[in-house]
Parts: sequence; C-alpha cells; structure tokens
Amino acid sequence: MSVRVVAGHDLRRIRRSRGLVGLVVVSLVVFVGGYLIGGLLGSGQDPASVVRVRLLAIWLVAGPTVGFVATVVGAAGLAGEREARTLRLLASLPLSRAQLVYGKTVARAGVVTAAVTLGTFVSLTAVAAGTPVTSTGRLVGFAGFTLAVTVSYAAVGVAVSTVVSADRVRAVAVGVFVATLVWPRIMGFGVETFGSERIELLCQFLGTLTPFGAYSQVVSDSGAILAYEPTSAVLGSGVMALVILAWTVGSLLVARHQFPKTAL
Amino acid sequence: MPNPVLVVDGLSKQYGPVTAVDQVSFSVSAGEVFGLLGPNGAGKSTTLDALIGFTEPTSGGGAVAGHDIVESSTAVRSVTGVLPEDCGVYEELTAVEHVELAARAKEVDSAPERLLGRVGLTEESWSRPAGGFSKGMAQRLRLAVALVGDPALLVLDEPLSGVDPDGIAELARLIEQIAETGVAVVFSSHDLPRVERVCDRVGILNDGEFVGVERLTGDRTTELILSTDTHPRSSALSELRALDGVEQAGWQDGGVHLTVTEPTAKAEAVQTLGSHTRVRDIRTRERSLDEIFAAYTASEERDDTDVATRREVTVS
Repeated sequence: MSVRVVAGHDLRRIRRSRGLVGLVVVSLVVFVGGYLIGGLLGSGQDPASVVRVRLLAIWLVAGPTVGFVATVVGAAGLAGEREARTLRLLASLPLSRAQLVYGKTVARAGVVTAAVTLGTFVSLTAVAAGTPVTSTGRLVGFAGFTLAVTVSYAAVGVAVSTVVSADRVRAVAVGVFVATLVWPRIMGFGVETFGSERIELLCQFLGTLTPFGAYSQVVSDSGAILAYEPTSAVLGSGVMALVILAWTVGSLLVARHQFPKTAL
Repeated sequence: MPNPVLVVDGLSKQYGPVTAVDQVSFSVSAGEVFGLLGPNGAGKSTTLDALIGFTEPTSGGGAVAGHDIVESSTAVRSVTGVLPEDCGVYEELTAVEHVELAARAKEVDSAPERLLGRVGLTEESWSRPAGGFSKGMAQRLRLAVALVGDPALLVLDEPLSGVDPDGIAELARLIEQIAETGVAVVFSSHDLPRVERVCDRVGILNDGEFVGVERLTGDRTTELILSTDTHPRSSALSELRALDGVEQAGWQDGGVHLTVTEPTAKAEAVQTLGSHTRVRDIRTRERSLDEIFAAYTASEERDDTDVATRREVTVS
C-alpha cells in the first residue's frame, strides 16, 4: 500500500516536471533511429539479412542509451530528493525505508519502461511490417529482454543512490553503467586471446554477467558483437534472464540494506 | 506527571569515536510544550532524529504513545507529526497535494483545506506550486503536513528558523494553540525568548549531555537574594547549599544569591542564613531563560560566588 503511495507520488512529480515526455522523445529517437540506421546498413540485402541488421542496429543504438537513461533516472530518484532536501519531509511520514526504495524503483523503472515500451513497439512493429519473414518469437524476446534490462538498470541506479553521497551519485551511476557496458568487451579480449575451449567459454560466460552483457547475448545475432554461439546452457536465454533478474533483485537488496544507513 | 506521550530513556548516539548524545532521558505529556535547547552541536537534532527514526540510537531508546522508537519507527511516525530541520518542499506540487501525500501515507482523510487554513496559509496559495512560497509560507506548509492525522506528538526541529519576526510570532502562537488541543510538542530552537514564551519546560543539552530540565511555568526556578550587612562565613554558605531545593549559593554585591528550585526552600534559606547573620532584605527574581541557558552551558569552571551568570548569551 505504502509502496503505491511513494510510487504514485514520484510519478506525479515526474509527470509535472515533464520528465516522461522527455523520456518518450529519447526512446522514440533511439529506437526509430536504430531502425532507420539498420535499414541503411542492410539496404540491398535479402529480407532476412535486413531484419538481422535492423535488430542489430536497434540493439546497438537503443541498448546502451536505454541502460544509461534508466540508470541515471533511477539514481536521481532518491538523490534528487536528498539534493532538494525533500527526503526528510518524505521520510517523516509513516513510510519505511524499504517502502521508499521500492516505491522509487517502481516509479522510476515504470516511467522508463513505459517510454521504452513505446519505442520498442514502434520500431519492432516497423521491422515486422517491413519484412514478413520476421519471427514473432524473436521480436517478442527482443522486446521482453529490452524491458527487463531497463528495469534492471533503473534498480542499479536506485542502489547507487543509496550507497554514495548525493553529490557523487550521478558520476558513480554513470561509472557503474559504463563498467557494465565495457565488461563484456573486456571479456571478449579473453575469448580472443585464449585458445582453450573451457577458458573461452568461461570468458564468454563472465562477459554476460552484466545486464548489458546478458542482454546482448540474447538479442544480438550469434557471432555478432558481444554475442556468442550458445554452445552451452550457461550462454542460453534462460541463464541470461536469470542474470538480468539477479541484477534487479541484487540492486534492490543492496538499496534496502544501505538506505537505512544513509544520511537523510 | 500524567501519562506521558513521549518517553526518552537513556538515549545515546555514537558516531564512531564521537558521542553525539549521551544518556538523554526526559518525558513529555499531552498538551505540554517541551523545548530542547543547546548550543550548536549539542545533540538536539540527533535526539529528535532518533525519536522519529531518522537515525538509530546506539543505546537506550524511548516510546511515543506506547510505540518503541527503534522497533516500531513507522508506527511512531504514524502518531507523530514531524517538521524536520533544513527540509525542503516539493516545488512542483501544490500545498493541497503536500497535505494529500501525508494523508495517503498516514491512511487518514486529508481535509487539506482545514489544515492549510489552520496554519494560516491563505486560500489563494492552496493550489499554487510550493516552489513559489516564501520561507514562512513553506514552513507553514510543512507544519500543515505535520498536523495531518491529528498526531499525539509534534516534533518540531528549529521550526522558527528562517522565518521573519512576524511569522515567528504567528508560528509560536500556533504551536501554543496546537498544544492546547492536547498534543504533546517537542521543539528545538535557538530563539530563547520565543521558547520561554511557548514552552512549559525546557531540557538543556550541552556536548551531547542533558545538563538540566527547567520548568518555565508554575513553580519555576527563581533567584533568591538575601541582603546582609556582612559577608557570611563560608560555613553558612555551605549550609545553604545543603538545603533541599537550593542549587547554588554565593555572595555577590552585598547579598547572598541562591538558585532555588523548590518554593519551600526559600523560607528555610532565610531561616538558615538568619541564624548566622542579620538578613536586611529579601528579594526574589525569576531567572530568564537566557540566564538559565548560560548557567547550564557555561564552562565547567563555575565560581560559587558568581551565582546568577549574567553574561550575554549569543546563540547562533
């Protein structure tokens, strides 16, 4: 009940500040932009290849942007209240710290997810409409994982805002996001460097242990950037879903544990 | 004392090696206004923060209307109205929306117009975003938020800070009126004249320790001045200090000055001194809160002959 109060309150503030409009615009720009770029890159190829290139381009353009925006928006939830000195007002009400964390996460993740849903829907509908050979399952999976990774990064942002002081939240949140973005690439060097199959698989798996790494493994074409042939179950979509879920739940647990210790 | 709404028992808060609050105990009854005074860094805000669950005490604790401040801090805040120190308002939300938020959190009917009117916010401001409010209006709004749900206890941390003199007078009157409805009020302030006017009792914190509680209404501490022809012997002063209800006794400006906390101690003091020397005149004077505050928070090197500390106290 009180999580709903906090979430509703935060949503009202976001709506008032026109933040939702901004997010929708960004989402449409990156998803439609990715779709268009894919169209340019894939022009002249067969329809199946065009679909692959379009999805690859959407992932490449929208994936990092969505993760970045979700992290920053999530981090701004509690940090923004601390900066505006309203967190003490909110915390003076009969709301537990856990309810504040969950309410903020629901609101922040909800807002970014709504914007991303619109962008995903528009771009993937265009993909499906333009190329009848498209697998519906693939598009649904693409959309589902995109939304899941959005929620995950929003939770990461909220967790960061409970761990570091208000003046460093945005910088640290961006740093954490960049680290999750770069990590799969770093592990990619290991894959390329070591000859042993087992070490190669280990590096591949380690590379998928960030939200962006897991997301890339699932939505990108096998053998394309940051996506490996699923030679083992640990590289399958089920494990990738678990990785993203673990980041979401883990971030919320960190936030719940740390927030009571945070100075208001 | 009737059933207290707030009981604080041996509350301590440690930040690493620093003791912010050490073994603070006091209680506040329904309808009573209790002022928490002390120099900057004395531990006032830490004490109030611990009451409302903003920080967890290292040891000790307390209860508000029977709810433990550590185990049930959410329940404590459901029966407590809080006006935190250095707290903002939601610039994009209206006054009505602020009150509605508190009402939803407390699961009570909001009646925002009644509360906003009660704290003196004019009707035209109710639907305006609070970002355009003056400091005084914002403070009134925060007070309205604190009053949502008819709390049993009101915790006001520096409620008069940043408010203009007219606003201070109105807020002080409002606090008095709220207490008259049976709400227990605890508030910290640096504005000693206002505290003196509004509070029934004050607790004085210094370096994290509770150094005294003074009643400001009824039988409050008075200064008894007994004029004598000669400086009495030190044994006479020792006898006076040993009396129940006499806190300090010393010679100054042709008279013995005593700090008397019990009315009955006055007659005993006159009798005791009269057995040593002739008492020419008897005068009493209520100590101002400035003097009480200074006496409790002055350096520990107190001279017995300097009974009523008269130095000006500058509290920033």
